[in-house]
Amino acid sequence: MDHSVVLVNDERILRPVTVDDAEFIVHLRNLPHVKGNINDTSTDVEKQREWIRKYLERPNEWYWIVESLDHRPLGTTSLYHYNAEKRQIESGRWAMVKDHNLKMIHGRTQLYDWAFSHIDVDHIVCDATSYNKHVLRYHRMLGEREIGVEKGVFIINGKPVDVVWFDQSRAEWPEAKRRIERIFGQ
Amino acid sequence: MDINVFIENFAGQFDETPADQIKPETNFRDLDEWSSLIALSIIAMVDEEYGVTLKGDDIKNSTTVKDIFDAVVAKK
Repeated sequence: MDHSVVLVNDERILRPVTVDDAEFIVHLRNLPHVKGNINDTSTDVEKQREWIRKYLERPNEWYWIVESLDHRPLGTTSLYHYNAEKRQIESGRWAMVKDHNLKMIHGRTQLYDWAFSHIDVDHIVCDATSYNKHVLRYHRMLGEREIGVEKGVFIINGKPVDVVWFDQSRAEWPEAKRRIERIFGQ
Repeated sequence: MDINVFIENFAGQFDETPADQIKPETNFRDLDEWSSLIALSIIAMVDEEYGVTLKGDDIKNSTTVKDIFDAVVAKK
C-alpha cells in the first residue's frame, strides 16, 4: 500500500503521517477545542505509535498531516473505510491546532479533488457529532447532503454520542467546488 | 442596505448567543461563541443574502459587527 501521497499548494502541504507524528497527534486530539468533538483519544503516545503502525499496514486508507509551507504541523485529515460495494470512502480525522478553518476548506477541496481523481468512488462521506451545531452548519454550507443519523457511534468522555452523516457525491462535486471556490477562494 | 436586517442575519449564524447581545458596536471576537467556523458561516450568509464575496481578510481586518457591515456595503 502506497501511503506516500503528498498534496501541495501555495498555502499548505498534506504529507503522509508517520510513526514520528504520534506525539503531535495525541496533543492535537486532546486540545480543548478538538476533544469532545471526536472519539476519545488516549494520551499514551506509545499507543498512538502502535495505532499508526497498524494503519500503515492497511490498504485503501490515507492519513495526512496538514503542514504550513515551512513544515509546521497544523492538523490532520484522512480518507478511510473504503467500501467498494457502496463505491464510497469516508473523510475524517479533521482536526486543526487552532482556528484554521478557511485553510481547512481549501485543504478539503484539494483532498476531494485528489480522491475523486485517484480512488474509484462515487461518494465521499463524513460524520459529525449531532450536538456540534457549528460543524453541522459547516457541512450543510459546503453543500453536502445530509444522509442520516447513526446512534452511539462515537464514545466521547466515555459516553456514546450520535453522529450525523453527510455525503459529497462525485456527480455534484464540480458544482459544489465551483460554489466553494467562489465564496471562499482557492 | 439596512444594518438592522444585517445584524439579524449576522445573529442568525449563532446558535447560543441571544440576538440582543449582537449590536453594531459589538466586538464579535468577544462573543463566547465566536469561532472561525462562525466566520465561515458569515461569509456564506453574506454571499447568499447580499451577493457579496467577503474574504478572510475582511473579517480579520474588522473588529465590530458594523465593520463587517461596512465591508459588505463597500463591495456592493
